[in-house]
Amino acid sequence: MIRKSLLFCLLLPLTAYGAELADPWLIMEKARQAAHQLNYKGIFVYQSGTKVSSMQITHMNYGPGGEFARVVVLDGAPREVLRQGNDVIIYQPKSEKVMIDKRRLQSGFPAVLPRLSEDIKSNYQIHLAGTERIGGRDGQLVLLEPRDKYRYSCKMWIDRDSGLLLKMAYLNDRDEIIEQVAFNQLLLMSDGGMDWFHPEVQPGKDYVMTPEEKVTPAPSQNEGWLIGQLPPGFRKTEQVRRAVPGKAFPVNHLVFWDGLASVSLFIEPMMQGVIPKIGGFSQGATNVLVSVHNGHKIVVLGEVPVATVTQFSNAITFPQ
Amino acid sequence: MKEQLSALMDGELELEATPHLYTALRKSGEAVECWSTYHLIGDVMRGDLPMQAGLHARVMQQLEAEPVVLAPRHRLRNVLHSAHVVPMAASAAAVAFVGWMVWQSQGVAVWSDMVQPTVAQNAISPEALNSYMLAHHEYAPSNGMQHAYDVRPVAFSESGN
Repeated sequence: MIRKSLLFCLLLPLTAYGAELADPWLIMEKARQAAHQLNYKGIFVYQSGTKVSSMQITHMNYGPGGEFARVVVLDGAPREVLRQGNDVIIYQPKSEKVMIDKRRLQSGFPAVLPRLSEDIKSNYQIHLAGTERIGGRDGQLVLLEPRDKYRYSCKMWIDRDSGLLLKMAYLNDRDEIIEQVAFNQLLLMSDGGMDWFHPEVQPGKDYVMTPEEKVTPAPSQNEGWLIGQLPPGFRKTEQVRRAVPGKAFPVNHLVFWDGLASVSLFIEPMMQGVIPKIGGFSQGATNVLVSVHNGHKIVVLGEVPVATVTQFSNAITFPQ
Repeated sequence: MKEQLSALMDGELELEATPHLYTALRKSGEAVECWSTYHLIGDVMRGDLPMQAGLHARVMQQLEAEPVVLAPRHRLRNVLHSAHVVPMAASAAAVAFVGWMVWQSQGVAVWSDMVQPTVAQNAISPEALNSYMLAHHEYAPSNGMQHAYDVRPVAFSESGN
């Protein structure tokens, strides 16, 4: 009896601790915040299909001063990215000059987890699945499993120590990894100066700014097209007329979201005499389908299975 | 030296306080180049690039180049037989999916270039879709893990559009 109660006393604090951190949704949310708030430096490897590239990241949050990151692509063509919030500057050295490209982009790894929403909770189930070692650190494995065939499942390994996302993988319905990204080296830092936040300057090379596309995206209406039966669980989050770099005129851009994965739908009138290139391709978890409906080019792309982009494409109709 | 230049540009260092830097700036071509590069970078970060000349001309050019929309719609259908194209494309895509799985192990897979035999030689390429990818990453509420930095800006595409 004494032995039994002693055991109970020993277990009590453990279960209390477990209950506190047992909600997998909260672990995921904590990992999302950690990626923005913590200061860290590391090397991660991104793999999509057979394409592999490794990158070096430095990320610092200066509180009210803002969030800064520098990412250097280590494999293949050299490229370097400086980020301040969502403002991104990409440097790409060419033979005699360095091209500078400025744009707005969502954060990259490890700040890629979505905010907690009803959407993700209704489209995915979540559970914890033990601990695995990633890049020398203990990662809590968290599984996101879709409730239907219209989305991929997702595995996340979250650092038990810092709460930071260490690794993430998308799996198809046969449980094969189709895209993944993981730290293989990670160093958490305390505060530091800003002297790291500049590109590697190459003296003797001209720095050339790519002209910015200055068409402000504006809310748009359906122009002669209707959207029919979409795959379940996707909600429209955006509908704008916007400039797509390299396009001479604005296109309609609609974005749909299921709480984790997003799908973009582009609708644009075709120019006279242009033979459209149609078909589809996939790279990692991203599928793209280009088709032609009633003199319009429809591009659907997103990190969802082929069946999902196909149903999006087929949902567009042009009533007479 | 580069760190000092950067600090100088940001106004954190007084020029007088760093005579060696000032001398170097005057003497060394490299330092001068660094200096102007840092200024360009600083301008870019702050978003105050000088207005580019010839804007008016470029706007007018773009207006000239506005697309002629294929309209009215009832004529379109005759031209494209689109009412038939759509379901055919969908079923072909479903068939092609099997092929895509096979191709996937070889990298980027073009999984339905047989949708329309007449345009097979004109099949899409990932490079041609870079601009859409970028637009997607700019607007998607979350973009899974697809690494935003990994999308090559359209202007840099080696093979062009």
